[in-house]
Amino acid sequence: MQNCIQELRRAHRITQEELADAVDVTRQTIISLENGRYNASLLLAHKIARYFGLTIEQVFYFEED
Amino acid sequence: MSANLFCFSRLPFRTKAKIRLWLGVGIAMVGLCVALLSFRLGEWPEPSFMTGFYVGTGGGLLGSGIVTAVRMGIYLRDAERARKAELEEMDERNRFIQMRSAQAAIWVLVGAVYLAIVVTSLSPALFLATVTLIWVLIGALILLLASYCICRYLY
Repeated sequence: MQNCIQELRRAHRITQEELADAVDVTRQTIISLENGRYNASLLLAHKIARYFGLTIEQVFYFEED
Repeated sequence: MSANLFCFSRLPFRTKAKIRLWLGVGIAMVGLCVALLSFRLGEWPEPSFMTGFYVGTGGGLLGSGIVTAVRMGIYLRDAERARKAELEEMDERNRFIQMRSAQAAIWVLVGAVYLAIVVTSLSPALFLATVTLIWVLIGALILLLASYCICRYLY
């Protein structure tokens, strides 16, 4: 599963640390999410999407989509 | 050790820190008692080995208990550090890594004990050690299975 967290974060001019604090995870988790090395749980995906004011499908998507 | 107890519990972090602080104090006291036991080992056939065992493990428990109690005390006084510690503990990726690592470590330990049994069985002089290790392995496997069933039921 892919995501556009890095692009959204840069567009909103926030750091990985700030995003991690906002969604109650560590910075390492945000890094792993952005690098595609970790897939977020439904709860975390929901928190991240809500933080950016988007739906989960707008932030996370399957590669073949 | 006690710093990670209740990490899957939904108790507030402050409550967990208080419990762990007292657990740390308890473990430190147990460690001190174990270390002091080494003075009562006159009747053992190998007093120097058992002395080292008791002093070493007792010292380790004492040290880890004190460190845990001090850390939890710091978290109870410093809200920012407490929040960072809570984040590290509750982070889903960290939990996933911890569970996978613990699972692998258990099987490595079981494999190592089995290997030790195979190695000690090659020498007749180590018969007693071989039998002891076999019983340790059987006991460990039973405990492993019981813990697994209990955790499956609880979670």
